[in-house]
Amino acid sequence: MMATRWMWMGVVAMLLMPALASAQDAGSAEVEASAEVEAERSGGDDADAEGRAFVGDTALLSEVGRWEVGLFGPLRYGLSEEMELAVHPLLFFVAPNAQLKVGHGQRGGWHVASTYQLTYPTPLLRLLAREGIGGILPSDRAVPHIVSLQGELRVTREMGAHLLSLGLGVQVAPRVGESQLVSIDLPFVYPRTAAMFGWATGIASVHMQGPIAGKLGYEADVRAFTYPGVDGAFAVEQGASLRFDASQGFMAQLGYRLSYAGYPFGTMFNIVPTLELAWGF
Amino acid sequence: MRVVLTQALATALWGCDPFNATFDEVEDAQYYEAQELIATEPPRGELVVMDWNIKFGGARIDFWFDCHGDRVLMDEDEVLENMEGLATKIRQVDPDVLLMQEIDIDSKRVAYVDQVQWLLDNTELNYAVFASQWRAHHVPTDGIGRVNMGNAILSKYPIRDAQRIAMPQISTNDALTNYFYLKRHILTSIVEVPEYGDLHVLNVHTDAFAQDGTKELQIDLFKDELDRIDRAGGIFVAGGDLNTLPPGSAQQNGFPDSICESEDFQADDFRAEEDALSAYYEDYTPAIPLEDYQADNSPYFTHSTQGGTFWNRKLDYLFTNGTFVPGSGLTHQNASSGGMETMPLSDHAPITVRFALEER
Repeated sequence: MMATRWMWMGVVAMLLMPALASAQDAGSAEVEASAEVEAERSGGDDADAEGRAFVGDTALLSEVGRWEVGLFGPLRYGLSEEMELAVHPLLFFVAPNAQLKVGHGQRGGWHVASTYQLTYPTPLLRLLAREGIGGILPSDRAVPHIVSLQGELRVTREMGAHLLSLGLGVQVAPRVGESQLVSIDLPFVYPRTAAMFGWATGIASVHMQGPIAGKLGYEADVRAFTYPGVDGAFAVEQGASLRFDASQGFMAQLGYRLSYAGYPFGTMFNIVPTLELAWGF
Repeated sequence: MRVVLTQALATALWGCDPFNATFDEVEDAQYYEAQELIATEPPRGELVVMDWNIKFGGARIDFWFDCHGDRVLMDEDEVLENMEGLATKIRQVDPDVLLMQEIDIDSKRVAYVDQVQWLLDNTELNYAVFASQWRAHHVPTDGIGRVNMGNAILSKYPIRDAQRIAMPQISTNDALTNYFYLKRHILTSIVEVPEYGDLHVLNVHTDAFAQDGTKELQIDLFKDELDRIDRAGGIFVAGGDLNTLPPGSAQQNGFPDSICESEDFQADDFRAEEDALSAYYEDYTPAIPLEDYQADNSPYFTHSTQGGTFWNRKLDYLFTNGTFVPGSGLTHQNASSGGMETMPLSDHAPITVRFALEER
């Protein structure tokens, strides 16, 4: 019975990995309430600070003093007009992490922000390296101390009620100590851990969101990774979802995510359903 | 109630087979061809047939499932070095037809070396068919990861009509375990032998760890398939790793290299299956005659789980409803029996026999 329980935990962990990995991208699964779009449309940085909810992959920041948490997404806090702090609570105790988003105002009609994410995944990887059922990694390979650092520049432009965001970033993951780390050759996970085996991963993204009718909206994105020098070398992901903004305090989202990526064994195409629920207060 | 809920959830989650781990009852096998085909003369009156469980090129590394060690993965250099050892033996035997078990084509544990293609490109063999026995995008146990292991038939001559015929899984496993577990099958094919015609070649690897009668059922199903071909007038050579002993084996349990304590890995107590192969010996011709084996078991042993323990049980077989050249069956145990040492190459010794191409 214990063995079956570990098997289930392993399988659930693998099934959740896309969501967790997506959450690590700081909110591709999150949406911005239409009220926020209206506030943006009324113009200026002052408007940015009002009525904003569930700010995700855009260059916009959460309201000052506002908390948000997603089922799979991070816990966010609007620290100031120019700074937003986020941590991923599900992962925090096995992969301590933090992200800072810094707003840089507007340039030529584009909102500009930069994000800086720091993650220490070593405890999680060591937890997954176990004998028997539930072992995602082999237990006989040494997992080094790894610090993942990711920086990204994001810009967002309003197009009527819709928001178009572009992102460009880089991830590095320096290792300390003996490393016999083995890659996890799974979609969504492999591209996000490739930097642990090479020198850097480049990331580019295009993200679009907006209303459809009433409280119903959409979100779609394309995200590309390149990890030169690492087996596979590239990944492209595309996601789309319908979202329901019940209020500024709750949002639900349902969609899919596609992956076409290179791995040590070649390329593979995958599609998974996605679900996100988020609360704000 | 918990079991019902578990199985319902497994069915719901795996209805779409997200880890690509399931098979149809009957599927076409996967076809291979050497990068450079080697011109071969028509065989002169007989074919050399070889059978070998190659332990996915793991040689005598002590892996976790043997309970002798904890290794899970090999690096590419290790795999290629071990494959070169296997290829050296195959080139020495120079078989016309080769049945292989436990051969990997897309597994993390062998650094993703396609061993079927590699052997075709490094031996005199030209064609192959492969059927998966264990396939999943990711196996969440012991760090195995992606795996695609199975049975293959390699040949100097073209192969057609190759199919994977599914066999039942261990019934005592829960649905989730069986989803990721090995899925045994019969690999059946027809080798087009020049100036002779069609030769049915069948390959099987039955369950090692079944405690519920599944292995005996698989052995019977394989025999049923041979009987079907025989009744239809076909000539076959069939074999593989049947994971059971011949009738009349002197030792049936208590092998010194069987050290696993887990109930899930008890594979070496054969006392309840003494007659499992009796019908094979009664109806068909074995590569190693039963009377020879029963007179002295040890020259025909083909398996030991650890390199430090010499071959101590026979699990591997070749049978035909045609004619094997009398006295041509050989178990390649070492230099004096087969011409080179095989203990370092796999946990199974290869067997060979000469099949007589009689006019039909």
